[in-house]
Formats: sequence, C-alpha cells, structure tokens
Amino acid sequence: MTTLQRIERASSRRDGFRRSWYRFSKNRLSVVGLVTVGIVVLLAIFAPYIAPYPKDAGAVVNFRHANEPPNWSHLFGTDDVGRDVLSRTIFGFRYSLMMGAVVLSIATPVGVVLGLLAGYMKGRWLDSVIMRITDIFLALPPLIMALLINAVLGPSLINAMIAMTIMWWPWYCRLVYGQVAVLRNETYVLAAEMGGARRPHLLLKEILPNCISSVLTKMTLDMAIAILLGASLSFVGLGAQPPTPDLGTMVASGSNFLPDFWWIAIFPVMAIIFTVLGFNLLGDGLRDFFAVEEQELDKQ
Amino acid sequence: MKKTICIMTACLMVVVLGLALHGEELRVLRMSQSWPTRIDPHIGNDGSSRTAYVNLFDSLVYPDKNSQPQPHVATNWDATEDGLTYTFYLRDDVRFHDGTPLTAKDVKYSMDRLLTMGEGFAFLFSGKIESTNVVDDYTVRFNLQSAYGPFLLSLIRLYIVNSELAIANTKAEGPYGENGDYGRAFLQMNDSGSGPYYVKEFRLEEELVMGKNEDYFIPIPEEAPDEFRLIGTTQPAVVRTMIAKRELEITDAWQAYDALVNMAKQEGVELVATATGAPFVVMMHTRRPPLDDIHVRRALCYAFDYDVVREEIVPGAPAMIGPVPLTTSGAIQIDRYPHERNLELAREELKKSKYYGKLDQYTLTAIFSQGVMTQEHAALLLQANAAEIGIKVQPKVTPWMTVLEMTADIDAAADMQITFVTPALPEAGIAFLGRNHSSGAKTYTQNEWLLDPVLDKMIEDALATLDQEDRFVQYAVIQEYITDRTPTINMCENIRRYAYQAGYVDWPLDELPQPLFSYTFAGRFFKVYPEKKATL
Repeated sequence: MTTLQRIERASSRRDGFRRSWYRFSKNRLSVVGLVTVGIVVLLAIFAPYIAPYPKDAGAVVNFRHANEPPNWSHLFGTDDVGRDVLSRTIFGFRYSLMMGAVVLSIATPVGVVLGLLAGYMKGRWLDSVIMRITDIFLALPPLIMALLINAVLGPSLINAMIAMTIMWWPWYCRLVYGQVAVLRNETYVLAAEMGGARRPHLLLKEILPNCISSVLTKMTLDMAIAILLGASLSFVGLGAQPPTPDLGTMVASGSNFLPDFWWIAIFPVMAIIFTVLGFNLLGDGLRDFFAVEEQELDKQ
Repeated sequence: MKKTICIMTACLMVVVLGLALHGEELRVLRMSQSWPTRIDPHIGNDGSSRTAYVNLFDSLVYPDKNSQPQPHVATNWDATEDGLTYTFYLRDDVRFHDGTPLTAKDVKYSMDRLLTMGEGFAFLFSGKIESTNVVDDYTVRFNLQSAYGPFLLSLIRLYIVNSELAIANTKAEGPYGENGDYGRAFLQMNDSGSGPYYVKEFRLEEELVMGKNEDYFIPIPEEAPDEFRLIGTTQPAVVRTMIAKRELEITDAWQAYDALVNMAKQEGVELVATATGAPFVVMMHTRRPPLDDIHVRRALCYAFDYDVVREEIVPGAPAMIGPVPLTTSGAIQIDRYPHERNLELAREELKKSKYYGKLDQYTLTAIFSQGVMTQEHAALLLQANAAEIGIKVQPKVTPWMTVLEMTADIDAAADMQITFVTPALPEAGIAFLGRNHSSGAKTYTQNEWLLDPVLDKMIEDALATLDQEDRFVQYAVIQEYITDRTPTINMCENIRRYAYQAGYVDWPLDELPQPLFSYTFAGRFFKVYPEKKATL
C-alpha cells in the first residue's frame, strides 16, 4: 500500500466518522442522551474520588447526624442512618450501571447466537427447539418471573442479575432470528454461499454485521429498562442488601420517611430518572441514526 | 306535582342531615396495625391478633394494672394445696354476642380446642393440663398433670369462645379427628366471643371493624368508642397522612421515631411510649462456627454500641442488664452479662477464641424483618461495630414469612437474627419458655439453638414451683446459667411508641397493664370526644 493510499483511507475513515457524527448530532436530544450517559459513566467510575463522603457507601452508621435536610456539608442531606445521600447516590450509579451492563453482556451474546442459529436453520428442528423455548420465556411477564426466580434463589444483587439475565436473552434471540430469516436469502449471502464460504463465515462475517445495528440500539434502550427493573427488584427487597448504596434500595428505604424527610428518597429517584432518560434518548438517537444510514446504503 | 317534589326533597334533606349528624356523633377509634389480624383466639399470638382478642373475648381472669390476674368471668376459685386441681366459679350474667349465656362447657371447649390445635397461646398450657371438667353450668375444674406456678396468670390468655356456635359450624372433615376442623373455617371469619366489642365487619385483607357491645356484663362508659377499627396498613406515608387528616386515632408501633416526632408536631397529636417486656436482641446461632465459640459471642457483645441503640434507634429504651428485661417479674440484674461497649474487652475475648486470626474467613449473615426500621438500623450498627473487631457481618432484609421458615430449621437458620420477642405474659418463666426452652427452639422467638436439656429441666422445675418466692429464686439461677453461655446480644428492652390524637381521645395508659402486650388497647377504657375533634 502506498503512502498516498494510506492517507486516502485514513481521511475517508475520518470523513466517515465526521459524517456519522454530523448525522447523529443533527438530533439534539440524542446528544443530550450521550452527554447524560457520559456523565453517569464518569460519576460511576470515579465515584470514590468525586463523592464527598466515600466511606458512607460502606458499613458506616452515624445516627447522631440522621435525617439532616440538604445543607452545605451534605448537599442532598443525610439518610435515616446519618449517611450522606449525595455520596450514596453517586455510588448508586455504579450498581445501576453494573446491573444493566452485566445483564446485557450475558443476555445479548446468548440471545444473538441462538437467534443466528435458529434463523439460519429456519424450518429445521433446531429452529423449532430454540424458538419454542424462546416463546415460553417471552410468554412470562419479566418482572413477575424475575421476582419468582429471585425469591427462590434468595435476595441479593447477584441473584437479581441472574434472574434478569434469564428473562432477557429471549428478546435478542427473537430480534436476531427475524432479521436472519430475511438476510439469509439476500443475494450477497447466497453469492458467498455459492462461492464456497463455510457456515461460520456466513453467520459471523456476512449476516451478523447486518444485524448489529438493531442489536446495539436495542441494547441501549434495554440498558434503561434493565436499570429500572433492577431498581424495582431492589425496591421490593429482592435486590441489593443493606448497606449497598443501590438506587432502588435507597428509594425503598427512603419512601418510609416521606413526606417529612423527602430528600432520602427523592434524590435517588432523580438519579434513576436521569440515567434512564439518558439511555432512552441515546437509544432513540442511535435508532434514527442507523435507520438513516440504512436508507443511504439502500440508495447507493 | 311540584308540591310532592318539594316535600320529597325536604324529606330527603332531613334524612341526609340526620345521617350526617349521626355520623358526627359516632365515636370512632381507628388504629393502624400490621396485618393479618386473626379473630380466632386459638390460632394467633401476634400483636394485631392480640389486640383483637382483648376486645372480642373474655377470659376467666383479667389483668390488673400490675398484670396480675383478677376475677373476671370467674368470680372466685379454689386450688388444692398440691396445685393439681383448680375449680373456678363463673358469673351467670355473661352472654356471647348472639345472646347465648357463657357457661362452663364453653370454658372446657376453649381449653380443649386450644390444646388440640396447638397454636397461638397453646404453649402456655400444653403438657400441663390433664383434663377440664364441667362440674355444673357455672363451675369448671382443671386437673393439671403437674404443678404449674404461673397457671392463674396464663389463664389471662385463655379466650373463651361460644362452643354452641362453633360446634354448629364445625366441618366434619378436618385435621382434628372426631372434632373435624374444630370450627376453624367458621371462626376464622366470624365472631364467637362475649367481649366488650363484637365483630361488625371483617375484611380479611384490610380491616376489622368492631362495634360496642351494649349488653356487656361490665357497664361500658358512654364516651367509650362506639366503633373500634383495626386498619391493615403500616405504610408510613399512609399513616402519616391519615393522622394529619385525623382519620386515624392511634398509629401502629412500627413507625420510625423521627416520623412519629413529626406527627406529634401537629396540634392535638401526642407521642406516647409503652413498656413491652420485649427484649430487642441479636440472637446468635450457638451451633455454627465461629459463633459456637463463647469468646466470639462475648466479643460481639462487648463490641456492640448499646448507647446508640438506646439514644438513637429506640430512644429512651431501658437497658437490659441480664437475659430478661427488668419489667418482667422474676427478672434480675446481672452485671457480668456484657451490656456496655468495651472494645478492649472485646479484643481480649477474641484472643481467647480458637478462631482468633481466622475470623476473616467468615461472613455472618444477620437477618431482620422487611419493613421494620429499628431492626434495620440495629443491623447496620451491628455490622459497623463488628467490623471494628474484624468480624464481617452482612445484614439481610428478610420477609417475615421467610424468617419463620428459616427459624424452624437448625441448618437453614441464619447466623444471627435481629428481632424483638414480645412475651405472652410478663413473667420470667414464661419468657424462658419462648426464648430458652428447647420447646421454643423452632420458632422465631429463638435462634440460639441452645437445645440444652439441663436448662430445660431447670425451667420446667421452676415453672412447677407454686410458691412465687421459691420460683423467682429458681428464675435467678436460670438467668445466671444463661449468662454463663452468653448466647444473645441484649440490645435493650423494646418500648413501643405511638402517636395518637390526644386532642380528642383519652387513653388512660397509666391505669393499664403495659408489659402485658395488647391490654393497653382494650377499647372500653378509651374515651373519644367527637365534639373536641370538631374544634381542632
């Protein structure tokens, strides 16, 4: 490759990125979403350095300063045990993000692989087996099922994640399955097949890259739902155990003190709204972005 | 036509006005309660059921201010010197709510039923009553298997049901042999008592409405509530709002202290505290490492910050210096039971332990009931305190039903359980039955799993002693024995706090037997003044 070719390729990649960013940033709300998610991620990563009282996220009690309303030393006030609500909220982002990330990072690959296989084998026995199991899971209300699984395994953060993962993969399986069923008859796939390409190549190199945009969009939107579901499980006492600063648990215990000590519940609630809204806006932005990109590809 | 409409409208207005005025005059006492409440007196023994029993049923004897049994349905009684036979003579003017007179056969039926079903307060009598005989309509005789010191006191908890009504509604099929279902299905939902209040309406999941029994054999003052409602919620925001709107007269005991203080800021609302005789404890599983080592248990006792509990978590609660709360009769103070924080002593104890240096391998789970803030706070305090001496404790919120399941099995039981145990009767011997005797091991009242036959024998012998003085001496020896084993962190004696509408409700707490839980909620002693409410 000559130097000129290298420069050309690099500049075309840069152009591509710029064009993509331009298209993405045309929708202001998606930029807001991206920034929000960025802030949440940064807060979560650097929580021990940002939180004013990082020790309050752990096994600390300070009853003599319990239920203090927001003031200069405790911007979000203190909770019923005397811990700084701001510090715990910042640490709370960690658990929420971790919950979403762990659940999706396990559920997505499983769902995608099964969806790919079932879609490619459409009409054969493997397709029937995978998709009927998927249907069974899809027929069950996710929150109720997660509650049930968690109640059987016992309440803890890990078990909440397991319960949610079990309930989550079928959605990806169904999504990918639908797409693969269409894509496998596309001309370029057939051409590759006739050219002697082997099955793993067809699945991973030809079909999968064309499903990835919708999987990514769904992941971003699901992140919000997973965080909410995790918070719901914690709210009913089946998620993180005290003193873990999980946002759902904080809302649950804070709601006992409404309306007098509103700050104990309201700030974690706002943190959940902030995070969920961020992921939703980002997801919407991504969906529009990929839709436009596909349209352009179609035109070409 | 117009005239007719006018007359009809006028009539309607009179009726509506009449109803409205009548509604104003009704004296209502409403109290929030943890649910479910049971109205079958031979099944439950929890707080809200006890409140219902005290109002709906009568017993042979009734506690005075000092929780001592006084004549009630029984006017007097004889006992043989060996304490094996008691004969009770009943009043002839006590009637059940359906008008049937209460007679000796009802007392016999109630005792037999309680013992056969073996639930609720049955443990007070099981293994002690040989037979109950009806001598005549108004004389009943109990033959005991062996002498039982607190027998008279225990009769406070024998609530008498209408045997005719129960028998007429008994299903032939059921788990109690020839007694079928022993009227269980019927009594679960229907009134069968003779008490100062009758069941007006009972919605199993929501509310118990009790109406004043105007024919009660003891005259009830006119100002006493016409209606006593137990409302099945302890949800803090709901309780707070209802108190603010004066739609609730007394709160339940589960509200956080700060929330109660805030409620009491409202005009006419006051905060009261009642003694319960209930130890607020951390029960340690003495059969599980590392808690099977007394030095680890003692170290935890010394590491615990009792002052924070008594000042911040249950403010004003009395200290527990020994295994039994001092408001319980027969309790003694034992200074050497660790009851004050001393980290130095805690570390010394740890050094004596065989687990010294290996404690980081263990994480002790401390369970507490979901929704009880004081227990959650105590769990967090325990975690922080234990961490200071290098012991890891993990608090775990546990739904009440799961707590009951866990405590029924020595292997499933948690390492530690944080709870209060409200004794059925405020006497040390009765407290031992629930807290320390092996017969109570599989219930929520114990998680120590002492299962000590020597201790069991000591408790049984003490309970069989008729002379109170002698009995109390034996109780003291038992408390020393328990102290030597230190199975429990005795955080404090729990007190229950309530906010109530003092502006228009008169609650003569000082005249009621406080540690005998639920007798403070006998509706007939309250006075409600709707006219005062209108001025607030």
